[in-house]
Amino acid sequence: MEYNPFFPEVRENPYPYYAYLRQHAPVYQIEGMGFWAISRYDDVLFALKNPQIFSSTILVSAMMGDLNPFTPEAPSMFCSDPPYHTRQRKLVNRAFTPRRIASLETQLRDRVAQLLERAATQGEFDVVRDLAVPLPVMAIADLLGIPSERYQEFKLWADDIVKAMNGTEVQGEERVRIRRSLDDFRNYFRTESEKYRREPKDTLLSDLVRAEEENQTLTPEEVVTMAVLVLAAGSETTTNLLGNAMLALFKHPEQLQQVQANPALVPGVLEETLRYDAPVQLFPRLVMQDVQVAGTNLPAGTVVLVMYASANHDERKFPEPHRFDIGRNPEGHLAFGFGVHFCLGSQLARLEAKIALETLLTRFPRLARKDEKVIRIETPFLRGLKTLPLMVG
Amino acid sequence: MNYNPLLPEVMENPYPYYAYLRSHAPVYKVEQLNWWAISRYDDILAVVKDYQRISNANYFPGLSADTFNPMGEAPAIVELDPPDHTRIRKLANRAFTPRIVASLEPRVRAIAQELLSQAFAKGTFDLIGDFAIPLPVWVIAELLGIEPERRDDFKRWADTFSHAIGGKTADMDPHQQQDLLEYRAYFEDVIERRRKEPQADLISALVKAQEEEQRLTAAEVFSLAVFLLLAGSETTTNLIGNAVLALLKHPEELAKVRANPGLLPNTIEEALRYDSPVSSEFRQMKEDVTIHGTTIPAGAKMLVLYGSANRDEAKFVEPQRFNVTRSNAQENLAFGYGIHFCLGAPLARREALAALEALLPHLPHLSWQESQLTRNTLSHQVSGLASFPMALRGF
Repeated sequence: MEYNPFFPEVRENPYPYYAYLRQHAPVYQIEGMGFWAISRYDDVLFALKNPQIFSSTILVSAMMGDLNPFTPEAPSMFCSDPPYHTRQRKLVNRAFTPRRIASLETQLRDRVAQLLERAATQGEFDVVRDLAVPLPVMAIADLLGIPSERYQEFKLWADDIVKAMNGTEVQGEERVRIRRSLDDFRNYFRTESEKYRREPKDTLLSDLVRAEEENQTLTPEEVVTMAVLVLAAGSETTTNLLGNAMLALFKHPEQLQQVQANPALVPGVLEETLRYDAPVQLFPRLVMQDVQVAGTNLPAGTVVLVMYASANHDERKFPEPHRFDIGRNPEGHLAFGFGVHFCLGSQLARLEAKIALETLLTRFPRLARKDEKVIRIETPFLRGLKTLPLMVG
Repeated sequence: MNYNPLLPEVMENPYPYYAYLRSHAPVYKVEQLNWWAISRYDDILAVVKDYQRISNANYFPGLSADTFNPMGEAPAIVELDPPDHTRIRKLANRAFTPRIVASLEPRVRAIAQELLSQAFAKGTFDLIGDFAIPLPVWVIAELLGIEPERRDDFKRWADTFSHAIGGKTADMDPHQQQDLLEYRAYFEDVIERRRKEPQADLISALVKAQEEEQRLTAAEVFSLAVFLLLAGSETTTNLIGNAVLALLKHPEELAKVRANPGLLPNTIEEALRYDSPVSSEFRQMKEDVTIHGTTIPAGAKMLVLYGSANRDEAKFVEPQRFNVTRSNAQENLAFGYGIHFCLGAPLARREALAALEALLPHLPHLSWQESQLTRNTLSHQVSGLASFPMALRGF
């Protein structure tokens, strides 16, 4: 068996490969690529608990190259380690509060209702393209305080960020266009931050500008980077959560029926989806000091893949891991990571997906798939659908 | 051949000039500057041992005894001759013991890793500005007990100080002059605080030697504390940059070191020899001194070319070859020799080792281009890079 996250057959269904790795090669060197996959729950947790050994600095160069939306003066906290990360995280925590997320609920319900209007009139729609893709972008626009006049432009920027993150597929002129788009994006946030500096408002961006901790604040470029990160990290991932949850439910019709009958089960569906089919499958880390993992020596300089989705299927942690069970309560799943880089937006993601799923299921009780085709996004790091056409009955 | 150490082409690559001097004019007078250049290993060794006749006075020709001398009223230890030198050196040795230096090792490693991680997070970074410059400054800051919040100030002062040493302080811009004043004020404050509340650090040890044993004046404590920063920053930066460049330009040697990290200490010695961070030093004749039949008059200024000594074919086989397994690499004169032998050598070696250990494993992921390197041209007496841009690649 050969595992490589870029192989189409692996992307189609990586889970049997993960099982093999966990059993036979918990630290597995990927042929021809020089990096090592870590697949067991305990080992993944070990890596995440030790950011000083397993550095995140390789993340952006690894994934985006010259389409990096961050700058050397303000690298994002996503691809930095303590102590730089610590300071950034502390400051953004001041702004990204539970209160602020909760205050988005009403707007989110409105957004979902808007997006589903089209479905209602046409009798069919694509839950990924028409709901799961636009919703997180709208949520972040609202969160950051983007005015409605700017919304279309913001959406194009969001699309470009997603393209930049799947950077390997973008070529030639498109690449140049996206680079310019990312620069425009940063400029926009720079201007907006300046306005908020003079006149604070009740938005995340304004709060980032004002965030202060022990006389430290974010530099203007760090504020811009943070805004870009929130969008980059919170769009495609949440799209995938929704799409993956829908697909899992359709493949388990008895459980779909249960949820339709009782929408209070939705949070359980989402948690089990996070475990069962994690939107973020794996991320790379750079080994900074020689370390032993599962008896294998990984010297400094090694690039490892931390396989969250495999950890979530580790039979040592989750009995019958291949069974999708919305009643499972999969505490300890690693879909949002663990430790210092634990997903900042996890509560926002859960809220968006909950509202979307609840509304969808209650509004369209006779929801069904239009066909059996499964078309997936093409990045090896994330897992999700490009499209999922449905009939609303 | 016209050897003038101030000429840009000589500063860019002095080694062919050194080779000429060693073979044709081992005692060479630079007419335009009235300096006498000594280039052979054996002669340099003899000169630095001969402190009775050859003095360290006026070691810093650019410095004048005015308000903007960062070291204050007392000369730097490196400008002194016995017996003043002996007294101060004995005391400085005490605070720079092998045990103290060894105890710094975990911090040195941690600082190296932290700086590297911060540099990598940027994606594209400058090995010099983001790593090789701050590393020794932060380490000296730890040694001197400087609060972490003052680190950025400390770094700025170190830069300014290097400029002062290299040039004429009176010509510096008001900002830089202000930095020097701030620096002095800060140190006077730290010394005062350690006097009132001694800690287990270097400054406290020096203050104790001054207060309790009356063996150092207050001005001498200040001068030493300030000099350590100068002596320990840019020099080590250059060592790290030069060592990394030498390894990257000699892939077969790099491969040997990656295969056998035990070669790192000797690699550092070979880097010191191959591209000495301090390429020359001044001396002053106390009396007429004759070398190879040429008499250098009393009062004359001599330029001791360590960078040339370290490439002397009479001492080092194939001296132009960077060879990490060279058996006599440690006989290099990069740290000097005799009574003024670099006090900080063990610390410098430890820092370079930590820097290389941290960086080496990541070299395959780092891209760089020779055309983007720039050299430090602040002083003809140092050899090092001003910038070394690198980018962390992905897969």
